[in-house]
Amino acid sequence: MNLNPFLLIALCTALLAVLFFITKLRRVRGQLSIIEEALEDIKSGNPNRRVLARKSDMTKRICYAINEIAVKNQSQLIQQKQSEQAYKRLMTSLSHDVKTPLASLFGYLDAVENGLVAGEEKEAYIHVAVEKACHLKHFVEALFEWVKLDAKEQIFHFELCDFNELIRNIVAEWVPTLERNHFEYDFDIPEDEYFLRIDPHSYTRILNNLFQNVLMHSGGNKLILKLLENEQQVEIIISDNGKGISSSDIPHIFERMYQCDSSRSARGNGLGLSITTELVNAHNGKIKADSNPGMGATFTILFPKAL
Amino acid sequence: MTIIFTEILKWKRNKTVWGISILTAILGVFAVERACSISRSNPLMDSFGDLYTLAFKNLTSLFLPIVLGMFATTLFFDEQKNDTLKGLLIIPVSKAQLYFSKIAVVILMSLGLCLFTFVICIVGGLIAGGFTDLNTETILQAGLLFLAGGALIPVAMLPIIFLATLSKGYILPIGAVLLYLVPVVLAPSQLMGLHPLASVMGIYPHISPAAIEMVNSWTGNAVITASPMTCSVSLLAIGIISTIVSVIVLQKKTF
Amino acid sequence: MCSYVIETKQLIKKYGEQTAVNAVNIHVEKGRIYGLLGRNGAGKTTIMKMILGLTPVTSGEVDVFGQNIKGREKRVYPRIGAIIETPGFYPNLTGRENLEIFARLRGTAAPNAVKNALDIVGLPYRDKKLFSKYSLGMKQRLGIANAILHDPELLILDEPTNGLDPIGIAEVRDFIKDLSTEHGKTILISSHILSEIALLADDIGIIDHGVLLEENGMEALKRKNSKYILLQVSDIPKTSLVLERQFGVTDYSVQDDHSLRIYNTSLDMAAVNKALVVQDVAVISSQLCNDTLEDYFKKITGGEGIA
Repeated sequence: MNLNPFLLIALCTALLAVLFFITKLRRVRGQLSIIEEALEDIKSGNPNRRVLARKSDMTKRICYAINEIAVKNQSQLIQQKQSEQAYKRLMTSLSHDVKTPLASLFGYLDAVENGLVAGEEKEAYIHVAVEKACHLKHFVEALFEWVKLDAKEQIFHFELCDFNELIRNIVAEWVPTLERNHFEYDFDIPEDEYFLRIDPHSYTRILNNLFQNVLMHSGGNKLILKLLENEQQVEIIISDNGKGISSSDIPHIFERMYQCDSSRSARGNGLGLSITTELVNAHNGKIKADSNPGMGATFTILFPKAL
Repeated sequence: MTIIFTEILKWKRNKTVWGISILTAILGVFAVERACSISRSNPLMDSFGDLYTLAFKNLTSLFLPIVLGMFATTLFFDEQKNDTLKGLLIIPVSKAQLYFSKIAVVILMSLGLCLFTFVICIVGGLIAGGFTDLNTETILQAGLLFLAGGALIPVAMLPIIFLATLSKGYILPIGAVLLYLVPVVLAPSQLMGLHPLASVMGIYPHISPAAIEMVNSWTGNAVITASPMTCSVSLLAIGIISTIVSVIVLQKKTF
Repeated sequence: MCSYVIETKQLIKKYGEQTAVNAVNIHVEKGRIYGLLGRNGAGKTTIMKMILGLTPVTSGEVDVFGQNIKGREKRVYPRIGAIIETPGFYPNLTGRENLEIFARLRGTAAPNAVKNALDIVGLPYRDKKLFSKYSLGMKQRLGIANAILHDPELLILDEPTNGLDPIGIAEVRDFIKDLSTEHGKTILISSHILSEIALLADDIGIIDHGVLLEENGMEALKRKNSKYILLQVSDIPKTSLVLERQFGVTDYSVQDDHSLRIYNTSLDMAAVNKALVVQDVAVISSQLCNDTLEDYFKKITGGEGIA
């Protein structure tokens, strides 16, 4: 037992160092084989694959770079898939929502042509057919507008205009319609000028859609419009006293083709709010809905002043 | 390597670690206090060897085994208590890796405490003064003794760590630590080569002359029959068996 | 290419005499959300644990990414993120420190993974709060952060909304949905709440007393969920004319050249059939479909229903 203890310690240290390098080497080798496998996987069409690296790994940078490429690749693929799905949805909605009015339109015209009805009834049939054709036309128009918006192909013409004045003009056009439908109304629009950069045409569409919505779906008899303006943003609040929207529907009403009555009523086309949302988004705005079922619903639109 | 490092990270802000360090410091300071109060002419404290063996004895005879046993138990048990085991397993960290990393932490802890006491001894020796033999050679001898104690005691504690992996609570392994210590306190010399802790004691005398004196006073001058070779072999053998059994038990255990 | 990310074959788990999971065959398709629905103690967690290899399988097989997981843990686990039961973390560390431990051990896909994961689940990065002081909701969020830390392809989430408040549940739900649609992740999620699964899942597996009662696409189930009369006739335009003129029905939709759905289920079908026959329209079939999801689940779980 005359071994020098210091020599022993030195030996141990050397051994440990060798061991350390061997494990390091093995780790790198393992990592390389993992990278190889992952690359093979990504190549065969799985952009979800990631290569994980520890902070101490020599291959860290390579791994992160591979992941970055995969992430980019993946988001492209997903975008592509989403637009494909949108297209598919469009086709189904075309086939369903166009087929129904088209079939009934055909039914009416067929009856008239074959002389199944005569006199006043014939007149009534033709009237219904015209109405149906009109509805169909509106639907197809709305659909194309939505498609254009969805594909980001709509061109907006933003210009600086007096926001209050614009609203007054839109509202004025609605007054006769509201009165005809026995609606009470209350418009609270400031007198002074308030300039904002917007696309007047789309803005008119937004308000028209919301008004239309209240008129057709709320079931109430009162419409209130309020404007809250300050330095940063303008808030437009449109509320009614109708039947409201149930809380389980609220998250979905801005989705395309969503209609609250699961027994889709023949009126409306389920595109209005979806188009509105797209238009509001194009203005960097926000839209939200609140409702107490039975007490009416409130739609709030926010536009930032600096566009 | 990373696993061991994260094991250490897990002990951040932990009160137990602080408690253990403070207790170790107190024990070290206690030995230094003896050195200050006992005159250099007294054979009990006439050399630096007396000081460092006293501190070493204070640390390693009872305190270190108990502390390491408890520490290892919490190390294994907390992973279960915090429900973090399943999180680690699906990384995946294998149970064997986990076991070895925990053992490494126990050994590091033990070495750390020993070196801490070693430093206290040197500083204490300088403060108390009057040690004629306080030179590089004795300091190195002391260092070696502490290093040996720090490395060997955890190995001797492996059977207890096995119990810690086996049980579902703190009580069994901590009780076992105490039982484990009793025979060593009663009859250290006879057990050398059989009981791991006693075997460790059988190895000390071959490290420094002061250690011979220490072990002699410890065992009451009993004749040491077991050779250091048998002691080391038995220590290693028991350690390896415990390790293998622990890993197997861990693999089998589901939760 | 096999598109199942998880496939179990006759999976059985016995605890002593008791059978916890009995011959379960689950098929989780790539890029979809698979909801495992069942009451507490039905065996959902056990199945997930077996898929992850956390608990030994009594008999049967589990394939993940098309291969048996046994012996390939090191290659397969890094591609999975999971929460099983309540997430476990170290109480003496902050949320960030906890995640850093796991990130260090597993490796990450990007340099700032911990911060990203915390941002996504809405937990602060610079926070001194220890995990032991976390609320149940925060713990759950941290668990989700840990599951997505390494940007895995497959997420296995066991009751991820447990302990969250209603707003938190909605947030987590949106975020899981987003992971699937925007990032193409495959997700296996379990819950005892029907509405939760109904809102999230693309496919659904219903488990009761350890037995997989039914595995189905959510689309198919939702179709079962509406009330309507399916009418198959020889001439759609004529039928629509009869419906509109004689019965005043407007809420119907044309499915294809020979079938339409009438959403007014209280309609007197005998009279409709008679009127159609008079108009020379052959009625091939007419059937009433009215199943709500709840009814449906009651039916397949043997009348007990689900939570």
